[in-house]
Amino acid sequence: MKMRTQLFAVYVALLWAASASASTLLRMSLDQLAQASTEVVRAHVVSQETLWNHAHTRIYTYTTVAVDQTYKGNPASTLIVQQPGGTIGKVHVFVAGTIQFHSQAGYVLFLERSAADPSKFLPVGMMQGAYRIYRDATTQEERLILPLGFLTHGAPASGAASTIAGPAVPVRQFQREISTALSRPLTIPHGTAIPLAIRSTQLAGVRRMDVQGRTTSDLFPNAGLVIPAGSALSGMAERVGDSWEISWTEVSIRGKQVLLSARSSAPAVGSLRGRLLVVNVR
Amino acid sequence: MVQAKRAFRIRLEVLAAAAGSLTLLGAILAFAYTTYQNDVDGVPIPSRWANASFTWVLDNPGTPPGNVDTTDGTNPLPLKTVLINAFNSWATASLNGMQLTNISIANGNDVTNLPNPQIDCTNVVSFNDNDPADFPTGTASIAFTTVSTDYITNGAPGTPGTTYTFTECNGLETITTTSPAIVYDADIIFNPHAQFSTSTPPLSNHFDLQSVAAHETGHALGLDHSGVAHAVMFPFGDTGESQQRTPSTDDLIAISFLYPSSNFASYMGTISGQVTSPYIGGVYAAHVVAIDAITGNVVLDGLTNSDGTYELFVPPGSYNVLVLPLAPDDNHGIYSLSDFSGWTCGYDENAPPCCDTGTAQCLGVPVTNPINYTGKFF
Repeated sequence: MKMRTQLFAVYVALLWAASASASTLLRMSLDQLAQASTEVVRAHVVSQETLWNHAHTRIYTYTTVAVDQTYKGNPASTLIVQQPGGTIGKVHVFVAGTIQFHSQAGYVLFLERSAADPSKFLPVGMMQGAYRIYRDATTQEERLILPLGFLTHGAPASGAASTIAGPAVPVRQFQREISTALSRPLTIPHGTAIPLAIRSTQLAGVRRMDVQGRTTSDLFPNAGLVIPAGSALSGMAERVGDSWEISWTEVSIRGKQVLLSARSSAPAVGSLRGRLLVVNVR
Repeated sequence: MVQAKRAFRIRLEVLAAAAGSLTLLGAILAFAYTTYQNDVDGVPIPSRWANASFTWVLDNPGTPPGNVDTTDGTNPLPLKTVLINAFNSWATASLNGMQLTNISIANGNDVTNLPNPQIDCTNVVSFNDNDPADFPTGTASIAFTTVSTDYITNGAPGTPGTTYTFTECNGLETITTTSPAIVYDADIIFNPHAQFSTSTPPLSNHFDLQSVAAHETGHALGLDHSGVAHAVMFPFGDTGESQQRTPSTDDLIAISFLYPSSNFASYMGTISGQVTSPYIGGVYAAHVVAIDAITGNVVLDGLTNSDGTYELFVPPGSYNVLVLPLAPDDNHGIYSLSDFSGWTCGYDENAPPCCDTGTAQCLGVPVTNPINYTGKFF
């Protein structure tokens, strides 16, 4: 079953219904959004369609955006953003927390290339990964609306002053913040416990091996760092008595090499490959 | 009692039960309480489970999910017990000792590998979704819920009490109900790569399964996100936290709005008004927040209708009404709370109190006089 939907007619309700909204999210900082993304772009919405997946078990909405500016990655001129939910015929599947793209609207998007289909992109942190752009009617300045979750904290006021300052920032300011976030050196905090699986080993001398591992779950060690599941770690294992003592020296976070100082130990029984370990950063 | 449309700069104190004992059951609140709404011939209608009845099942592959710790910590509970508790938190919750919600929730037999989960009318709770498109790495998505809805397409809704018939579940089931818009399938999917705990308190670096489940079950029952930061339906949680196990007033009113008990009509009062702008008149989808004028706590929020009007059900008390910053737009409008940043005062250690204890001034504008809703119920 397939229905191509030109959603960007004026029919608001259709847009509302078709753009589904996850649900429970961990709040991500701008640094974390930038790190977790493979692509960070400014783009505007071109079209949208909703399809069943091949197994006819799930509905997904695909929004095509034209890239106006690239802050990270090497994207094509247009990108397809995939989100769960949408409308096909009489089937309206809502998923809270997805981005409700507006017709022709501009966005700053934090995206990850889909591992399942590299031609598609997934919003990082669901709705946290989309900042809608609008032009201030008074100043004509372009500003961004911060996604739900960037809490505004009110200060007591009285009388008619019941509308507090808006949660919007100038686009130029935000661009600078993205650049800063992307250029900021990454540091793994002391005490961070990193679960990993050893993927490969290679002899590197007598009783020594190079080891490669992959993290097995998403880690958010602090507000400025995310280590996505699958991030590659490298280290050196040395046979000491009946165990392998492994010194981990580097982790690759979305292509960015970060130095690491961590040790782990594993019994020297059988192959190291496939072992599940927890590495504690010193 | 007169139903008045007023600009929001009004003073109104919501009186006790006697003042609110009119036709309060439900209302067309275009966006208040942020339910899943369908456009029925121009009328936004919240989608409800037919006959206020909901049954869920666990997708059980035969082995417990490896990412749920049901053994460590203090008083860890079995997986299914936690899920039942989460659902019951909605069905049995009371507000000021009043049972305001009337929904029947049951747990059916476990299932495995359903072929068409989004439209088969089997409401599945799953920990087995390994599709990387659903839970990409590093994106902090802990769980989500797909909610399948339908609505009548043969004209406007009839008078309240009209019966409607839907054919759903791959054409296998006929659903008869008095709601012109229904939810007929909801599936809750937990991130298999996130670590959950059933302990109280939850283990550090683990998400509290009951809190996450309470949030997702709220979706399954028909609720979208709330902009109130301490509400169960606020979309963000963190590891080691469990405060979202228990529905807040905002959550309770929302679920009661969808599935009201007989107490709901007699107990609740209504704040209504209109948000206007000198440039465009009524403001669509403005975010309206009611603050308890005594405690200074945020009680609930909602969004305005297309003409800027709003009605908020509230328990007896005194309130300040605050209109939060509207997301300005250039012809694209605002359609849901996902377009808002969220807002809080009072509940968060980083948020200033809603009321200044020195001056007794609160955020927002005090409102007086009870206004009882007399609109239609669908």
